[in-house]
Amino acid sequence: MISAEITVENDHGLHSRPADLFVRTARLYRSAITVHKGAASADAKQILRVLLLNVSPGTVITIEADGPDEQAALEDLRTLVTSNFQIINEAVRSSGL
Amino acid sequence: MMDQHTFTDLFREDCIIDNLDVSSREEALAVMAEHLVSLGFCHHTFPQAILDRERVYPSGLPFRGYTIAIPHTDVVHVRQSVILVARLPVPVLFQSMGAPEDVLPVQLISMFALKEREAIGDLLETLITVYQREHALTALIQASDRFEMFRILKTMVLECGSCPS
Repeated sequence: MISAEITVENDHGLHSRPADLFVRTARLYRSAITVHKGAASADAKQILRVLLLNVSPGTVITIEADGPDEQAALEDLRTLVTSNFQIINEAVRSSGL
Repeated sequence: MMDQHTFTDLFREDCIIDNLDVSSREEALAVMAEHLVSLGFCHHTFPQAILDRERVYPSGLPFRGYTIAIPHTDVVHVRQSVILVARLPVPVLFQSMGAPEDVLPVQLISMFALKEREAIGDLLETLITVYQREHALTALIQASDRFEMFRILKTMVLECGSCPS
């Protein structure tokens, strides 16, 4: 299992469009992926859980990945968040964006 | 920051449609968005922005029992914050947010227009917490008219401040 701590810097936090992109990206991977905000956590592949985490701009989150493709999953999600949701996995982009 | 009391003020009796009889997602969104424009809550750009957004970022949410859609778009298209709730006698299909390959039959649509972008996280958390309570959804689906739906929504959102998510 690996993890990374990231500050969500974009104007929208992890709501709405960013949450959608985050979940679509997480679902590309077989690994279990969890996002933590303080003591709260959510399955990164479940949109309702991610929205309920209510991650506002400036919040520090920890993304945890556990499974056969954990390294790629973590890097992909880290890139998505740190690029302010501008650098999007090609498979997600081609799904209708 | 908007709180539960402020969110209850976003519901209005004239923004509850208890029998939206439509045959497609696009028709539902167009009718609802035009309603908000006609009441002065949104700019004339709002309907097209809602439709464009839905195609790229679908708004269906996979709740247990009934599925919901929460269409919305950018604050630039909004004059005054409001939530428009529509109940459909016949569900229409929405793609799921976060999993567009999943198609959901939606019977209740909560279209929201927010003027304050920073309020979206709290509003989404509140709406999802309310709609996760199956008895709340059942009550809304079975309510006799829009006035009863309005009362249920106001009560449920007020209670949400102390209910577990």
